[in-house]
Amino acid sequence: MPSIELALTFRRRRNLLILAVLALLPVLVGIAVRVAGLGAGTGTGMLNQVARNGLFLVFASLALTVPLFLPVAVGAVAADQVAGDAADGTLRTVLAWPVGRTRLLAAKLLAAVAFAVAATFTVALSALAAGAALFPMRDVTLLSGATIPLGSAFARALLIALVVTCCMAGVAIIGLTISTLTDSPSTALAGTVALIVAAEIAGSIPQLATLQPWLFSEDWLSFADLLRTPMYWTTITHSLWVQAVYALICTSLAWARFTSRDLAL
Amino acid sequence: MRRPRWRLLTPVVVAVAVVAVTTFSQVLSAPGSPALPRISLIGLVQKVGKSPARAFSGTVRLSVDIGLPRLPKLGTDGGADPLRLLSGNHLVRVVADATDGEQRERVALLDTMSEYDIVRDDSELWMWDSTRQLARHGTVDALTEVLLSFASPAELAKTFTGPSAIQTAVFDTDYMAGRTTRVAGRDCYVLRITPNSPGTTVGSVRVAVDAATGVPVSVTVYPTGSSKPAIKAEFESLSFQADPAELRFIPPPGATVVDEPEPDLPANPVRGAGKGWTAAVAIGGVDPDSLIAGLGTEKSKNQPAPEGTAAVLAALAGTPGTPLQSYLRMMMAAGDKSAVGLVWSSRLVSLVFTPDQRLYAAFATPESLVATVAADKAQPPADGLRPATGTPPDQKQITVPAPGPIPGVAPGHIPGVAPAPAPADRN
Repeated sequence: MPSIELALTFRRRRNLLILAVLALLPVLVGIAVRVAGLGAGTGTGMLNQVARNGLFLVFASLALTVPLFLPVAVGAVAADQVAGDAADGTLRTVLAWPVGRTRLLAAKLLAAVAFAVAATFTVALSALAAGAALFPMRDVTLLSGATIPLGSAFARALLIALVVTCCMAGVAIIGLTISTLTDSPSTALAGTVALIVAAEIAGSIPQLATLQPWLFSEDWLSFADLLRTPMYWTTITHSLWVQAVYALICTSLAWARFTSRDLAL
Repeated sequence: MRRPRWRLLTPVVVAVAVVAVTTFSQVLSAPGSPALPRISLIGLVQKVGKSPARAFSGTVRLSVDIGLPRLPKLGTDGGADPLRLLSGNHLVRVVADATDGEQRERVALLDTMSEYDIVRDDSELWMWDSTRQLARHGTVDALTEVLLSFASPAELAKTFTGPSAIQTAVFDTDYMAGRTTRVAGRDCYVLRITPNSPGTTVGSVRVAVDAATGVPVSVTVYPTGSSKPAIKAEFESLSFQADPAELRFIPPPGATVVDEPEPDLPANPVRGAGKGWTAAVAIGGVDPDSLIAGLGTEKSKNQPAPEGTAAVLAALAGTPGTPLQSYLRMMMAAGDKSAVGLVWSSRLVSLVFTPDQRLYAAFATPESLVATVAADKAQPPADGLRPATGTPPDQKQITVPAPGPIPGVAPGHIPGVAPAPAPADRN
């Protein structure tokens, strides 16, 4: 069952197109930096360092995609998992198979999370390849001003990709839950994207400061805390806990809805 | 295939359980009142004053709300900047080691995707701006002293509990001790300091003192008549060890290194004016216009404006400077005219900028500060270079760097104070 859902997710042409676009983004940024000569001094932040060190294209690309592109891509695919099947009628066929609904949901959940992993690593690996091809790779200057050798910088990059993956997996689970609530894939997609945007807007309103620590999008960019000496884990740990809490509640909601709803059979 | 409807209750139950567990664990970890041996008030104050220099490192949560509008934050890549400490919530890593007689310190402002580090090795100073990959090398001056002390509760507390503060303020101050709390996992005594003099904007100061070491680990400053702190600095984590590697700064390869010129000290005397809680600190030779103009010059100089894709990328990456400048200019324009000069006031701090380019700052009401300034002017500063004495906001002998174009750091927190609110607002 899981293999079928995984195959369906990764063979769908639209999903592959999304991955291709995600892979293209870091390459475009890399080429832009290379061509425009956006080097030391002209830009600020992570982009500033890309021209000097290709590995920074990984961090810069994640920083550019994490606020919008990545979660929307992951959310869109997850939102299609159940609602899409319901709309084109395949859900009826699938439910006719001798497979429990819980197992079916688990398989769909797995596929959505797998796509989140694939999307994040597509950005990271494409950025790594583009960075290595376009720029020199050398020891990395951390945010704190200390310099670490390339080897341990790779380890940190992997750690960062994993943290971002966890955050995107959270988005996938939220998207899948919304997907179980409706039969219309466009409603599920709109709902998921609206939720992501609403969470980010709420995160930028100072008056909502008490609410902000509990928004799933609040600490998405905290992965940069791993580029300090010493690594600062508090925000990241909190962020991962928040993702876990959202995942738990959403999964239970998706399960309750999916196993008890009366599908138009 | 119909499943029972009760399943729809599951997410509700899960949500309630999660909220309950979270709340419960927060209640459990909330600072209780640990049982500590009784300590007399004098004993506690002495404990703070006499605590020996120790090596420590930790992370401080700093929130500042002295009534300034929030400084413009330019997207996620605006970058850490010490000026932003003037308002908002911040995370600061503090590492200090003064055990071998040399004052070595690192104060790092941790911001989203960026960091601003101030590393001090006795009189040598490095300022590292990760956003601009800029390392500035200079000597310790007044502004950095203030910034360094501002970030660490241990240092900030000395402003209110240091020997001279207690000496000068003891007659118009109520001290209260007896309660205990926990901060960063350490048992603490709570010292509450309440000024008793009219004219000050400091309502009360709450200091949590680590029972084992006497190090202040949390400072909260409440303005008069408000239960909302104006400044709160509290260790989130604290250990009495300092990693020597963190206290060293070597400019990373590829970074721009700027050697700061020696500040022109005699031209910028800093003195105290007035006494007690309403005492002011006066900084001479301040020219706000050139200061603000200086904030923007560094980036535009020698650099053609980016075009096309580069312009888009530069916009994406954020180009700080101009919004900050306009913010500061707006604040300059918002000052109230008085007999002695332009006056700004906020919940906690009042500023007077006199026509002879002198800036007075105090934890006092604008009326009280204007009176202090008038008295100070009537009595010409024969001893103009004497250090600020008995000034709560400023125990140290301060000198301010020449008002040159120092990007990111405006010498003196001059501009950027809200116009004076009506007295009714403050109470």
